[in-house]
Amino acid sequence: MRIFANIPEKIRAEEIIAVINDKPFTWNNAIIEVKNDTELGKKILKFLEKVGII
Amino acid sequence: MKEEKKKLDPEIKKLVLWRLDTVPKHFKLSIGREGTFDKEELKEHVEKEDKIGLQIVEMQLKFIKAVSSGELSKVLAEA
Amino acid sequence: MTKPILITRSSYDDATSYLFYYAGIVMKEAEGKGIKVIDLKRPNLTLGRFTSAIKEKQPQFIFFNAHGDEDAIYGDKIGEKEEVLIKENINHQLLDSKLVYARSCWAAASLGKACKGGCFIGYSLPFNFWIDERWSSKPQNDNTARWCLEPSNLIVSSLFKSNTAEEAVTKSINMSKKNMLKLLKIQNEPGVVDIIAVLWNNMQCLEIIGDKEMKFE
Repeated sequence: MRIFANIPEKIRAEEIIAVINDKPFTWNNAIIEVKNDTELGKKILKFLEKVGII
Repeated sequence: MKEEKKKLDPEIKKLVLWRLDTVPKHFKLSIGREGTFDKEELKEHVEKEDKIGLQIVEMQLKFIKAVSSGELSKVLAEA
Repeated sequence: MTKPILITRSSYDDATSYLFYYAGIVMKEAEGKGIKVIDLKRPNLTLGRFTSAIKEKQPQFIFFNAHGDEDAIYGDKIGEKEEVLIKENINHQLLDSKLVYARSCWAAASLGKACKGGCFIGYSLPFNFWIDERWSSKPQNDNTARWCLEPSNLIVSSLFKSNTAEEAVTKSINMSKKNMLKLLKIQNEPGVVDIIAVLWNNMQCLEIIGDKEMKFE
């Protein structure tokens, strides 16, 4: 969440930072999944860790 | 010029390809002596994982990390 | 009397034609201030002319607008081949004791560090910029390229105002930051984050090597 808070709004809305099952996720879309603790959210976190984004 | 030899992680490659897909059609990126490339050409280079493709990936990852680490915001706050 | 400045301006592809135009802007600024400019462009942009200009005219500031490698800066393309103007361990001593700004990819990575006694401003990675293909034959109308190339021109303009190398680079970086902030405010315009990414990368690899207090006098 702290990471998310440090990102300018426009970048949060437009920058693609994960691709799961061939679907792209921006920061905003990713945080929704992560906050709701969905399976997708877990995959997104794993992806972000794997590519070194978090 | 630097020669990159390592194989690209397929997930990173997919991420960069998706990111390049959002580049406007009329934009071209000048990459020094290598040339000037539109988004389809940039994507081709990333697909091929050639020298230009790996440079593009490196540039993208550097920026993503600057954003996620808060470094970009910190620098902009000082402006 | 102020010593002259030397500007190299190749123009044989999209990138160099943009640099040619943008260097032309600072050239006019220099002339407006009564600074003598040695403008090396085709057909005079050759190794021979470059070398004799440096040896005979002793320019105190050299501004390259050209492609580069870690150990070289190029001039014009003759036939299919780009001519090397400066190469590390061959003739890089021509830049010793000079104030240099190389608007070229990579040159600060090694060539810049080999030069002694002066100040080398350059990029240790590729210097990139986006262009709008719809205006590629008229760089003056291309507002996309402007975001990245104006901060770069500011280095030279600031040097003409007797700023030190460090001050000039700081001003350029500040302009890059301001451009990023302006871009973040633009609504409904695709490509903005892509331009910010390139501005960021150019800022990160911009280096001053040598005497940061050096100035153009």
